Amino acid sequence: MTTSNIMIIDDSSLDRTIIRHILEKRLPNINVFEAEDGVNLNEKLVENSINMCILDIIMPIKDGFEILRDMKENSSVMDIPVIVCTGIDDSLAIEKALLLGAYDYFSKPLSEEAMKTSLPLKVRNAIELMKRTQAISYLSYHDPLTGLYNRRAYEEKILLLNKEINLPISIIMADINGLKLINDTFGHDKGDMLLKKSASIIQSACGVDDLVSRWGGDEFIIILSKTKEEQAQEIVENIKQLYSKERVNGIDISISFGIASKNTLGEDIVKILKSAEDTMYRNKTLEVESSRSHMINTIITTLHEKNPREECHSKRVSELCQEIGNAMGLSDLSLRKLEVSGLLHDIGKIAIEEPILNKKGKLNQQEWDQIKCHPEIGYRILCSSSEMLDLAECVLAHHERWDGAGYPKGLKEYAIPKNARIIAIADSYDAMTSKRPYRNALSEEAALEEIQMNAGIQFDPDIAKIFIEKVLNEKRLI
Amino acid sequence: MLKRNIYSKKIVFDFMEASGLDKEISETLLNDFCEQSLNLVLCVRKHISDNNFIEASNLLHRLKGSSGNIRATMISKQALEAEAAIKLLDIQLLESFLINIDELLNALIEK
Repeated sequence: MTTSNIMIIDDSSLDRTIIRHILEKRLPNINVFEAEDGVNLNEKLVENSINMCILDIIMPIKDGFEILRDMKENSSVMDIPVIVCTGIDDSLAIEKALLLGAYDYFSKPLSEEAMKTSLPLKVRNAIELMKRTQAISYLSYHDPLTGLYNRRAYEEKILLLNKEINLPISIIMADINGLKLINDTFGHDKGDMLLKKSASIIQSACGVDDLVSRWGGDEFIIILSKTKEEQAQEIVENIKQLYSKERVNGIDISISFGIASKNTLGEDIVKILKSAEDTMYRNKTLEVESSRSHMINTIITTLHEKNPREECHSKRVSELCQEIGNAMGLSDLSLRKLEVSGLLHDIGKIAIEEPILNKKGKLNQQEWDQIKCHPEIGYRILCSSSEMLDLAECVLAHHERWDGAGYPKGLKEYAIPKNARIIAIADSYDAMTSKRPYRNALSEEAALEEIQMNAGIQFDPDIAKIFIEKVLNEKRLI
Repeated sequence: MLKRNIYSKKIVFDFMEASGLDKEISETLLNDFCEQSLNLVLCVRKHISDNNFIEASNLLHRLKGSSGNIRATMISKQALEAEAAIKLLDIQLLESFLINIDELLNALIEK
């Protein structure tokens, strides 16, 4: 249970003490602060994170009405509920206080009912109201995922910061690379983890007075008051350094940055932001393609490190694909694509849980459904890089069947990309002739018979024929 | 800690009953009240001699509230009358109430 902070403002120290004892006796987890007058009260309320106030009306220096008026004019404290203390039957004071925005009132001398029941309950209700107001206000100005300020907060705060005293103001725009790839490959919970990790790193590299906010989906914005562009660059380097140590599911992650600074009052802050954004996009264009290709390499390496059997299988499938392609008389370029497709055809298995991939017994329906997702996940991974786009369709379709009974789309015959039809045969043959956790390897003859039997059903009959006659038989002759 | 006479014991009892606070806290609060109020009456007299009636009135208002809260009802009544007297600028009447308040406070702290 969180502690609630109460401020009693009363010129009588005895009355403050009585009220404090009454509240402490009946309300758990409260901190009571006291003030004998309204001098610098708003600052005290903010400093002590006050949740509600008890305010005497008749006081020297500033009376309760003036204090109430001051509070309602200050956005930092205007929502704090105030219970005023009036003289008994002083209906004019009660009306005036309520008109000025007081939450409730009680009268002095304190009645037995007030001390034992109504005052503690009114205070408790005021605290709950304030906490709800604070929660709503927090949600209005913060990103719930990362806890950083949101765009609305940024837009309000930049207006307050955009003053001569804060010059030079530097803006850093940051954009996470590969968030979509992480979301598509490992699911949104891992993407959310990446966002949280990024937010935490950015925050840790910035000072307490720096304004860090989540600008959009994968974009963050940092506003640095009294900071030159070179100093902002140091912060960027620091973030990059911290970021270089981080991984999501073993995958390297990176951020692209853009910096711009406002050095004179005449410069438009909106244009400075646009300049930072443009620089960030320029940097991203340069960095992102290499980063995505790098990420795909990392994914396949990670998969193979986690599961060496997959690496051997991919290499054999790749070799068989090239042999089939050769036998079909495909061009060098097509053979190169087949080789890479063969190596990458199971890249989507990076998102399948280890115990399922290595399960010794029969897979249940749920596990089988997960396995069947790997062509689509592989497709999404490869689609993230323009270099790999043409391989993506083939990876997506490598479990389609000639008779249309395959997955994920149920494509039939020539609707299935040629390379996918080739991979399907190589993949099945290697799977049958390799030992798996759940069964022993079939002999080459038995596997050949299976391919033959399923030609025109599961496999492209022409490619199956080439595979049997030109690839397997030639191997046997050798 | 002052040794209680019957008058002060009655106030402590009334306050305990009204507030639900324990005896120790109630006695401490009554002691504080006596100390502060004796000083407060001195300040009222000083303000009156300086013709600072607003300040004097504020202090009497405070005394009225505190005495009511601690259940020193006789002092509270005298403070109420004193507040009315100062509003009328009847200094002679005011002084008689201040004397009464002084006596009541002294009675409270008598052993």
